[in-house]
Amino acid sequence: MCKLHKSLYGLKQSPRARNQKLDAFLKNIKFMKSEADPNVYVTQVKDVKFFIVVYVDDLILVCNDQNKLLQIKEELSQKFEMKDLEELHFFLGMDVERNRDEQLLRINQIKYLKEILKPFGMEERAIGVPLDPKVKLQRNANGNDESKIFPYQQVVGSLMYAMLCTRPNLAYPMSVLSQHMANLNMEHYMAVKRIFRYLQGTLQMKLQFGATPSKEVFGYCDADLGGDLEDRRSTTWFVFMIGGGVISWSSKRQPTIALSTTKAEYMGKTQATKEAIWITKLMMDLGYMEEKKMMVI
Amino acid sequence: MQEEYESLMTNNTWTLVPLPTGRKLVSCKWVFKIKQGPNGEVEWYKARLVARDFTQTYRVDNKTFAPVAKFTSIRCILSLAALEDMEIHQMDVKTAFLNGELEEEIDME
Repeated sequence: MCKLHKSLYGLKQSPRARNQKLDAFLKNIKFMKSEADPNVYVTQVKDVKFFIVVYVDDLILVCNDQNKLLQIKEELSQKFEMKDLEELHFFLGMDVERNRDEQLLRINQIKYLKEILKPFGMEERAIGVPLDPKVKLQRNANGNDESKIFPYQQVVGSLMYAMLCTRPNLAYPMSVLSQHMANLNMEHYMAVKRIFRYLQGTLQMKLQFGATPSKEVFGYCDADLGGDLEDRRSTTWFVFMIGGGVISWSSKRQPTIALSTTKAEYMGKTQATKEAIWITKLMMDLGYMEEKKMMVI
Repeated sequence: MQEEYESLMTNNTWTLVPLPTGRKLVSCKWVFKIKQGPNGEVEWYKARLVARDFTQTYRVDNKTFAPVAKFTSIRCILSLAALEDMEIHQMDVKTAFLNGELEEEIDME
């Protein structure tokens, strides 16, 4: 029999063991682990900044100095068996494209979305609004057979991933749809169909970063009052931007019932402020903010 | 298969020891896959030795948590990189799970 020293595929401990080894190595070559996100590593010597983002076995290396980048890559390759994919083009289902002359970077999931839409063969015309404002989805709907065979849960799950990666415009529709995972009827089915038609029309849209040359972080938040007609809970949404690029977004039904717009707004503000605190922390770890200041409107 | 086996060997993944009494073993097996190119042609044959973790006894001190990065931090760093015109490169670890050193003692096969 064998006594294992290193982890193998399939062991419950394997992902952790790998992560810890990488962690120890990066700390050894003078990288600091970010407190806000433990998968972000930072080092800065004078003007040379270096960030590493770790996603399981994928590493994104960001540096403003070519030589330093090559040096770190070399060190990593010596320690681990690595594949150098050169410039970032594709990451976790997202396509990344850059226009360095104009300092723009765009991410998109056109391929991924096409995969989702493909089985449903969309021939109908595209539509501009993802949810029908006249329709309020019912929670205890008794659906007929046709809506039961539709793989609602899977589709909502796939769209959810797209929303989390590159589609802030789906945040609200997804928060509505994901509140109805059981007891479906034709209306739910039509709502998903409508999102497909909306995606059809917005398929080529990309998320763009670097539009305005400012590294200030801005946040916007808002709330409605009792938007959910069945239990009268309010919905809060917020969005955060750096230099004209949207980096964080959320749309959530509030956990408690607000009695006035003021109260609903306050609760929304709290959610947004929590996110703001976290982003501030991350920015400080990355060496971009000296003090805690951020504007949330 | 030879390549994977050599990788396991050069990594000193295991040593042979006599079975200590009272210990449970984890079994393992080889998994083979044919990797296909975009036109369905055979690109390479992949072999991997996997541990069958369902034969592992569950212990409370099995530490299995491993973090992954948030999408927000990835987007945050990408936007800063775009603004500062920094280099963005990607690397991946080839045999991702073979590289970690285990904290606990595990006996196999």
